[in-house]
Amino acid sequence: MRLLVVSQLRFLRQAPWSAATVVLGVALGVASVVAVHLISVQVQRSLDEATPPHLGGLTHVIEHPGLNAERYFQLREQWRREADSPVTALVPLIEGHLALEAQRLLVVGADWLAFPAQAGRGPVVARVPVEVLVGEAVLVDAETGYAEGESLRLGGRTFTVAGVRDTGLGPAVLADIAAAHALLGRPPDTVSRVGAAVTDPWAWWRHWIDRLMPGFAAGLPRPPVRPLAELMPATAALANALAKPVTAERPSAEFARSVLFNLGALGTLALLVAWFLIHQMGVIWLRRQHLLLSRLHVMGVSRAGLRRAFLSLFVILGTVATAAGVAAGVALAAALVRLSSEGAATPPAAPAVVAHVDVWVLLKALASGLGVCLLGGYGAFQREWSGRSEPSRWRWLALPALAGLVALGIGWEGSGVLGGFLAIFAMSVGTAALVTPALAALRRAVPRLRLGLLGRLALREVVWYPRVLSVALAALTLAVATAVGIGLMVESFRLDFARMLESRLDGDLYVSDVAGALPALTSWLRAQPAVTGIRPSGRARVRLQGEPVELGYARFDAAESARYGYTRPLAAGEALISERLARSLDVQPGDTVAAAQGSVAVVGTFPGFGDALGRVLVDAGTVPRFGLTPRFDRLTVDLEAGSAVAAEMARRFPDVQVESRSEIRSRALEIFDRTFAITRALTLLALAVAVVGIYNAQSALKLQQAGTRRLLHAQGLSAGEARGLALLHAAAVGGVAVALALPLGLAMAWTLCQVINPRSFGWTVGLHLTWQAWLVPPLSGLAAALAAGALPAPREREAGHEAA
Amino acid sequence: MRRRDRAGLLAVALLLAAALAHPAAELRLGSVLGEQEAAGFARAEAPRPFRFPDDHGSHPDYRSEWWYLTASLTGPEGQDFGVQFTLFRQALRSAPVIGGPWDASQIFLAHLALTDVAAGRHVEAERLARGHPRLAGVTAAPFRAWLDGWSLAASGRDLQGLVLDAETARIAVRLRLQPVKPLVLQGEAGLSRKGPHQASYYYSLPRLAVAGELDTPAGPVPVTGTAWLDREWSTSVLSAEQRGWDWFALQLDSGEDIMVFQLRRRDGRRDPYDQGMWVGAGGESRRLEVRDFTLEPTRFWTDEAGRRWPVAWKLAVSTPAGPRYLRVEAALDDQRMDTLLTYWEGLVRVYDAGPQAGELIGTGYMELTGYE
Amino acid sequence: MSPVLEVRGVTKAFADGTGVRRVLAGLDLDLHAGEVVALRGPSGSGKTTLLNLVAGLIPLDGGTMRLRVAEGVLDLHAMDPAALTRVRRAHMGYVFQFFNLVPTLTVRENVLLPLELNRRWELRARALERLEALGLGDRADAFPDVLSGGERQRVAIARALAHAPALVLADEPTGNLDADNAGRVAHLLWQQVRESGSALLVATHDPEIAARADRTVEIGGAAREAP
Repeated sequence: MRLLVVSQLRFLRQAPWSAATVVLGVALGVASVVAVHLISVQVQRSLDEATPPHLGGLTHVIEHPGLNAERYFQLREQWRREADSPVTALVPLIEGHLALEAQRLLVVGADWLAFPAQAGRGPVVARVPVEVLVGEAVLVDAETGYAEGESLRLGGRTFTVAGVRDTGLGPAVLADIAAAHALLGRPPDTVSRVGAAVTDPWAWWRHWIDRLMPGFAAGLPRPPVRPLAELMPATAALANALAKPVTAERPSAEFARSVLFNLGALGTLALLVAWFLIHQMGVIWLRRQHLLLSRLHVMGVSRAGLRRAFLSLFVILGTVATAAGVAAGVALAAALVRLSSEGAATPPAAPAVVAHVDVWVLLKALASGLGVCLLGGYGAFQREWSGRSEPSRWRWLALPALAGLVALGIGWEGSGVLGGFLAIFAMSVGTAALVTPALAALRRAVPRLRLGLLGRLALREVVWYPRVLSVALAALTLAVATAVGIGLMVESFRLDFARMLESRLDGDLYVSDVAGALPALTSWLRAQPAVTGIRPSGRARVRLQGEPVELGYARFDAAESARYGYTRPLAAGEALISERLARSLDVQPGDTVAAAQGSVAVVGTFPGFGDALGRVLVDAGTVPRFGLTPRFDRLTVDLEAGSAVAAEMARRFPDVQVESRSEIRSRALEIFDRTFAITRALTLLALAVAVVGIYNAQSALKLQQAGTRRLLHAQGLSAGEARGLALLHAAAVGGVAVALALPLGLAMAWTLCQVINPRSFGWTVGLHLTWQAWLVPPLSGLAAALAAGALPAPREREAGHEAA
Repeated sequence: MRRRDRAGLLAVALLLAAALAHPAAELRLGSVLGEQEAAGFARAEAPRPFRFPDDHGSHPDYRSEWWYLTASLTGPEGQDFGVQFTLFRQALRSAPVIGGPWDASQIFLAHLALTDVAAGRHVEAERLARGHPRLAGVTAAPFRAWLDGWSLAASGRDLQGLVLDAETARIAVRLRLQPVKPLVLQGEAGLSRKGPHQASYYYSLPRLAVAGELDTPAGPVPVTGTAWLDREWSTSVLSAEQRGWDWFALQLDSGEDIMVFQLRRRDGRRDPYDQGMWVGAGGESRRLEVRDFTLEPTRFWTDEAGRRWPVAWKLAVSTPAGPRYLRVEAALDDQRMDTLLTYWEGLVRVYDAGPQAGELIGTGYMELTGYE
Repeated sequence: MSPVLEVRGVTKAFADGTGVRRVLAGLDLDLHAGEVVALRGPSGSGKTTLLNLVAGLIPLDGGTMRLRVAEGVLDLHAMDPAALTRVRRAHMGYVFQFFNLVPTLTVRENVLLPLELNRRWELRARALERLEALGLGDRADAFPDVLSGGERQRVAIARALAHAPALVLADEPTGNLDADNAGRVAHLLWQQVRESGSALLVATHDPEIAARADRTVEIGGAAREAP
């Protein structure tokens, strides 16, 4: 056995180039996995760190219009009486705004002692120093610009800044609940909301899945907004209260987590392609060693012995590649973090990703690197040496099974994001399985093609040795298809997103939180000559067929309707609903939905990018049907160009939140682009591995065709013609891959836009076939294949042949 | 000592609570409890007249205070149970800063534990809350000490007709307690000296008759038995040379009650402030000085963290009724409190180690702290 | 009549692990149109080397080689490699011992390959006739992997003569065949070369084959020199 292994190691020495490409390919695959892991950990951490302290450790926020301290205590007492409540903490929260030195500050108060005592074990923890408890001390967000130890005159008292934190809340002051009441001048009876920690039955799974695949848990079913009564038998005091998941408080974090899931799926692509590469190389090496191995077999070495010796090669290569991959992955992660945070206000320290290298990522890297090598090598050995030439009797089942998986993943809504990705996986496997039949079909078609002899020769060489080429072709197909799919999805998404911003953001200023200040603000705005239009709107939480939704209302004239893609003004009783809501209520335009007092007719739907709750939009006149009186708390303001109204308004009305269209738009698009920069980089990485695979396959083919080349040379084939032949050959390889990749890529893009996006973000993306996304990846695939063909094949000897 | 140490316990527990809940917080609780320790707080320096029922209530001008109840109980089939309920009060400031009901100058911590000897189970729970009429606090008349759903309240005058009502996800305790002996002032007429500069006000109800019901994980059980209630408040904290303490409250079948504690000093010497109290069957009492008793551990239980807890002792006490030689054995080795601060508090059985050696002659509670 | 091929004072040596092996030392040879010359000699005597030198596949150490064609007399080894390739393509045909055919081209395509390379489609009909004459008309659409050894060599003959080369080089064309087939293939090769008016230089170690040639040239054993 030892001698067998030695013989394999010697073989490795004779095949340094192909060994190097294997190491390169696997290292890139491992690097991709490691980088995605590190980035995900980094993003998770920063999301967790950016969790506002008053939400740390909490899972839900309970909202009710009639909430006050008395009702909070009733709820608490009821909770404490329930022996097996899933609730582990209830925390009263106070929120409000105040103006200080021309700054509008968010004041958040909480009963910090009411947080779950074991919060330190969870992923999120409240981060407030205890001295805040004592009263005349506050914690401030770094954005306020205050320093530790500074004194603040607030609410007629002097408070000391006990600490400065990055709270993720913007300019905010965190205080004890008693201090918050004093700061905001609210009576002690005030409670704005109640935070709740609820035991997650999936916590154990989430914990481990998160260690192994950070971000992946975002693909699991998410906690819905539900009536409080489902968590705790409702008290009379808080009947109809809603328990909203804390995640819904931060849609951007939610979005980021969904992106992490996508990245997780994408990060394994390069590894998958690397597996193809290994398998390919295994087959090539076995062929090159065929003479040697069959002689050994004749001499009495068992098949298993040969396999062990052969696999020892892959253990060594896998180990080397893993080590290289971890190093490359860390560097890649740092680079990607830098790439994705370019232009961000506070770029994260790139070296920080190194800190996330823990035993988990190392184990995962080793499992990926070694696993992919051993599986690839084993598969190759079984394929070449299984002694079984008959394909499995169950082979015919594979295609229907894959088709079934695709149908299930796409058709069954309940399969979630995971189902969508399984469908994509099944499509990919199916397409990969089509490579060999496609080659066979092409082989039959070649004689009918009107090509010169050389053209025919080139094409035939592509299709002649399907075993050598098909695996690499499948890998290239997959990589190109993914590039097409992801590219189309991202481009389509961006286009839709930009269009939505364009149509929704037609005002110049967006003013919110104006409930108290509305009359004063409106009359002040009316007096400003630069203001050309004021459109008030309001929001309220209502229930529609039992589902908690956000009701938005305004004067819905044709212009307002147009912002949501609807052409007519909304008449009384007419409503537009978000896609997300249409999905969860299962209603379509033309349907009627029961409201609290009467019903509304759904006349259209609109995409609600970034919405955490379903939304229903009606004309203000329709609001009474929901049992409410319209109360306007938002203004859309149209301004003349270059007006200073915004600055003046912020100064005069500190309790008002003002954002300009350009601010919102540019921030949104910037976040969008940064979010998807990593996606594109990962796609490229997979493509790179596929190119290595194609290079290997082409090199192997060249080796196999050396005889033909010599013959043609003797026939007088010129060097230029020989090069042309090689290029044509490479182009044919790329052409087959691209021909298969385009439909697969299109199917992937469709699934991402129409199935996975709605499931993970709640909105559908219209598929736009932009030429960049449609053509660039195939062309790069083609170019890569051409480059791989143009590169000289490494000169390596065949084992078992005494002379060159 | 015990009381004092409980002040220390509470301080550390709060510190740990802060550390656990807020790992990123800089732990500057010391600045609240440490250096400026006594600032603004009243101190126990000289004997004072006790006024009841007022003194059963809170003394917010002192920094630390507790209501400490331990009970040895028996079920209908003779099964042994132990119940501990403790309410700690810690003042972060001697006076309200912000004012209003939410003011956090007073903080309360409660521990509840149930020992089920037959099932070999010890279950503990812990709750933390600020002083607030609806959350936590203590009133003197009528007496009521409560924290977030748990309460110890008197239905009669003073501490007559006490009811302990406390429930968690796993256990529930409903006990009616009636003092059967008069209240005993510890130390010098209620001033308990713990060191040259440390003292507390301290009194006990040495024996209460208990009847009630327990909800154990195995189901509800009616119980009867006896309990011990301690009350103490002070502003002083543990001295640096004290490592921990061992405290015993033993109730003998003869009707006598014996409380002793020893402080374990870092230098290994006996602490001169070790003390105790003997209460006769008729309620007569006598203070026990350091020379009146000796304590010697005879068996240890090692927990999974490697801490060695002395769970069996020999105790020799000279009482007005003659010398008592006792063997004290934990009813269950693992009665460790896995709370923010780990300590051992649990039911013990008392055996005669004298003439009738081996005879079970009483029950009680033992508290062990400072074992690392 | 001037010879088609004129070889003068050709020398060739190879470096190997132990020294320099002198394979050809001052060889002279003339070959006329329609003439069949057999090169004889033991293994390693330099037969294949001489053929490769004539074809311009390997460089010459010393001496000259001249090929007389319609354009004039070409000094083969004075030409650049590209020009040499063009000469080989246009004026020479090659029959190897084995691996004569491109496996991914059919029999017909293999035969037509020289015509495609030289763009001499006017010879197509004749080439296919020759294929017919060689008894392979029904195998025209087959790929080489289904042909027998004799059939493959016959295709190779058709392919070597398709573009009417001035010179055909054959390296042990029957070396891989049994005696019957060898005789048949040799016969056909001779016949076709003579019919087309080309000259044939054939390397063989088979005395029977050599005996059929117009002339036999013995190539002496290799001389070994110390490095």
